[in-house]
Amino acid sequence: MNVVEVNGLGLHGANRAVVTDVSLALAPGRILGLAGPSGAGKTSLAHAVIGYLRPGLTVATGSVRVCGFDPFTASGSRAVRGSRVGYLGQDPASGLNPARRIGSQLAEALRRRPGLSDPRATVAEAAESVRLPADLLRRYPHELSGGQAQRAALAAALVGRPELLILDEPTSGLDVTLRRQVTELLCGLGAGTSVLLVSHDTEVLRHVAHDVLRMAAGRLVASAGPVAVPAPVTVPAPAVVPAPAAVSAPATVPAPAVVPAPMTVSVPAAACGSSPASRSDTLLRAAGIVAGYGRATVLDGVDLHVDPGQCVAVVGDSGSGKSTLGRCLAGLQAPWRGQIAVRGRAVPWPAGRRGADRVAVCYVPQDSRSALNPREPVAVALTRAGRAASRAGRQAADLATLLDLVGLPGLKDRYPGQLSGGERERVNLARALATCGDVLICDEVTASLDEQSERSVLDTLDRLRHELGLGIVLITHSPVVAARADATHHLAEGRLT
Amino acid sequence: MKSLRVGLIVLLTAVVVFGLLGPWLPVGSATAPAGRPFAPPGPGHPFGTDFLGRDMLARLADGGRMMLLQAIGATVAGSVVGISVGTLTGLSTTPVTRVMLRVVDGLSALPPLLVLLVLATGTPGNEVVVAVAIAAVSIPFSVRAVHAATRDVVRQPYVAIARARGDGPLRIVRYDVLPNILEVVGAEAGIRFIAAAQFAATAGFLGLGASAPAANWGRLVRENLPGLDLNPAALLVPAALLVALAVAVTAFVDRFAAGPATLARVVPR
Amino acid sequence: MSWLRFVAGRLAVGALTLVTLSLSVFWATEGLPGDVVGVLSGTDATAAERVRLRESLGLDRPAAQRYLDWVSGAARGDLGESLVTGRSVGDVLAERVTNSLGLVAIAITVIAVIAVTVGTLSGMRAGTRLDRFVSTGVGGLIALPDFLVAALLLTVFASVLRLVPGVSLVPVGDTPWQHPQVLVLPVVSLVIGGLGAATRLLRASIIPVAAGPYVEQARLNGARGIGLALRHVLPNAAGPAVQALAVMTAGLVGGSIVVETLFTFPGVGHELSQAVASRDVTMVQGLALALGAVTLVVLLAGDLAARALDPTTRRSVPR
Repeated sequence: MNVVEVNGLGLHGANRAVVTDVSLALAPGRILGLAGPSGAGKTSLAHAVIGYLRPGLTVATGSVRVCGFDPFTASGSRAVRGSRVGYLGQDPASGLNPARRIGSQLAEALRRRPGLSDPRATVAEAAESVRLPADLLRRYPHELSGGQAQRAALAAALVGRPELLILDEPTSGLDVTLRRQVTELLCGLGAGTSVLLVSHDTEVLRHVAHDVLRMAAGRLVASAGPVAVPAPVTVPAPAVVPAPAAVSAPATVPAPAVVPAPMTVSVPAAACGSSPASRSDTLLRAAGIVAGYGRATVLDGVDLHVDPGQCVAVVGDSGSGKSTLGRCLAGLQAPWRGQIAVRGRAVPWPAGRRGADRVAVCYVPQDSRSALNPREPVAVALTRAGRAASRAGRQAADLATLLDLVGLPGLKDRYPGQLSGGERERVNLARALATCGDVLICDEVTASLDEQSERSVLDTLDRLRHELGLGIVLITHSPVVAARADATHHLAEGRLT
Repeated sequence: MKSLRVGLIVLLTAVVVFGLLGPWLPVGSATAPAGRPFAPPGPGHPFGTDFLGRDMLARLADGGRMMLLQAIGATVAGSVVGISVGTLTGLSTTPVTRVMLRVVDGLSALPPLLVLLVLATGTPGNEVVVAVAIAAVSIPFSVRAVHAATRDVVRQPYVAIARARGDGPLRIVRYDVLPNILEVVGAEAGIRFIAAAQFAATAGFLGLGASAPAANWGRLVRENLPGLDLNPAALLVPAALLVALAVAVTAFVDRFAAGPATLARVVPR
Repeated sequence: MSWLRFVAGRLAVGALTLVTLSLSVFWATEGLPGDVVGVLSGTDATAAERVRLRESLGLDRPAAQRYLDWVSGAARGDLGESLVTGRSVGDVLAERVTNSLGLVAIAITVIAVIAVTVGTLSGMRAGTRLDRFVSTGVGGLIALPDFLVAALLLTVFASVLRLVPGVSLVPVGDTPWQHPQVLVLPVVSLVIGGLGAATRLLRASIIPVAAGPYVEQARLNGARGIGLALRHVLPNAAGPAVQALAVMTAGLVGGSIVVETLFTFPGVGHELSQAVASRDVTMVQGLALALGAVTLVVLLAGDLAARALDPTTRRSVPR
């Protein structure tokens, strides 16, 4: 008997269909991957398997059977949740109850499986299977490191030896090391557990899943067989019309967003008033940066320089201090020690004290949503930035030109909430450009974008540095992104190599 | 539910209009005795007379204006102070502002009625002092709510970016802070108005503010309590007006301010 | 921040607030226009008599000196004597404070039980019909002035139904505890007056916890109903919830002033409003300071409890 059987399931939200006509079957002992871009309905489908519906969703069509039960009935969900099916949500570490010790949380997960013998031994076994040291069982969740908490949450899902394990984006937001660990754990799960793995990370799916289903806009678009890394999307040039991009077989993926490539826009000479100083000045040179928080030192003697038109990548694990470095360079944070010079002139660390040079180094943060004032239309945001540049003695760029530069003409009256993730990222870039900086510090600007948007943002950055002579510091944990840079540095243990 | 809300808002408007315009209605004197005490409703006295024989309708017409003006004035004053102090202290975090806020917090936790009573001992018979006292006890709530909302906004990267490129505090308040705290400002002003109306009525009940023979709906409740058996209308009508005001104002505030999360954090300190 | 630093910080702020409170009380009652002498001497007194009275009361000394005298006396427990009756303020306080505190204690206990239950139910099902119904009901309760609730209760239960005494007449020398029927209406008034705000505060402390990731995780793994509430929601919301109750208790101190006045219950609040009415400045000062200090202590206790109940401050391994 199949562990999961979904037949023609349709889920409807307030005014749109979230999932349409999805059917799948999961045989015992198999690992099924569910891939697709964000918003495709993967999580809603995963929730539906245990009969959970987000407020506002209803089951319009179809049925679900898990271990023979209908999870949408009260008795079915009671029989299934926490006993036959274990669920691990996104950011598993935050799913741990802060008020109870790890060990007792694992023991509680066993309560719904009365058949298992010797709870203490089972808990110890589960901890061992995720390589969690036994003495950590007595700790509270806030006393564990990020990786340990992650593993503890996984142990809690596994301890009851569920027949089905549902994992929702278990590796999202993790750095390379943690991702590898989780992938290994998943591979070693053993034949007794079936797994439904929801993820947009194709690497993890390739290593772990037996079969992969792709979802887009609530429907299944491909099925069976190991997932093939899709061929690069060809972007039609120079049109702005959102033609569906051609993808390699088996199915056509509906193009998510407008991906215009105005390669032919010529940059007016006075568009971005780079200062008249010689173009061969090193744009940014920093030496001996020592910085940290409280008593923890994060950066221990870091040197960095950026030449005109150069792209420098800074790669490192999460928590290695990449953002700290970026923020220090941009003047948003003052390090404990170090010197910084912009175009050969030494400047103070805090941006507010740099005088006219305060707009020379601009920071483009990772989370584009919170980097834009939600009550401010794009035009106002860019104009304000331009005025700040004028006040600092630089020439402000024209609004229309800026928008063209990043490929977003005609969006000037939109509010950030009306833009897609990729568009917001580019508005951020435009705003940074509006202050006509010399150096752009891009902090993980593509981390939460899907492949197409990521490519277009990186293409825009390349174009900018070639045409305007900007220097770019690309902070990332992805080797693919770093491959675009002229020089790559690794940040580990507070030192840059 | 929706028609109920609409009905309550209409009720609110009626009560407020009656209260504010009442003294101009041609209903006779509110201070001269017009019959025997606690006479039941009858011709010429739709609500009977009060404990001194004065016409209840006239007293009711006179009794709403001062109370409502005190409530409105105190709310507006509180908003002005709260927004100015709250936004500016939210932008900077010097140790001085932190201690100041803590002390303001401490003071604000004192029972407002206590403050009212203490101030009234100093200046008996003064209606303006009551309004000032109400404003004073509600300012800390406003400052705290606006301050918390401002800090939430200031924590966002877009403010750090604006600061880094040289935008000054006034510019940041105008473009980044104010548009994003409007809901909180509205909600907390609404909550304060409800409380202010309550206080104004309670002040009348306790005999603060203008003394007899001034009319004030709260005062009328106190005065006519003994006459319940003889003329219940003398007690129940002012009470009903106050209940109507309370319930209707709450419905109005609920409709326009669903209680932002910031307020939920601010209220329990 | 370590426990010690936390307590020390809170105590320091509390002391500062108390000093500010004493200054405000003193300034408001003696510094403003309005004269104690006018109260005592009556309207017919001549100017000379007023001057003599002023001297004998020591009111011709500078305000700062009078303030210091008063404050140092208060620190020693001597709050002066009533201008009207001559009794020591400290004595009056000692007599009445147990009555008032008892009233508030009973009321907050009843409120706590009801508000925690309703607030938890409503907070865990935020947005549902039950929750909206509770919120509207609560909103209506909150908006009613305390005295109105008390007056309506009085009319219905005492005058109309004659079930309980309307006025807390207690034979001289006896305490209200010996005549418990006298407590009923004041307690019920306080409870109804405070229940709305308490339920709203508790609901507000429950909602962020109930909407949090670990509660959702627990739900998706089968935890339901009471088990979910007791094991996952309440332990994590206990801190803010207790703090909310402390704030409510402080609020009840204010509410008790009105309730005691209406029912002539022999408590501190009743004495205070009588003192205000008769412009007995010394009594007002002493009682206001005492009530203010009690409020600050209650709030400090709430802060400490909230910190103690916060799970993220727990350590399995002693530092």
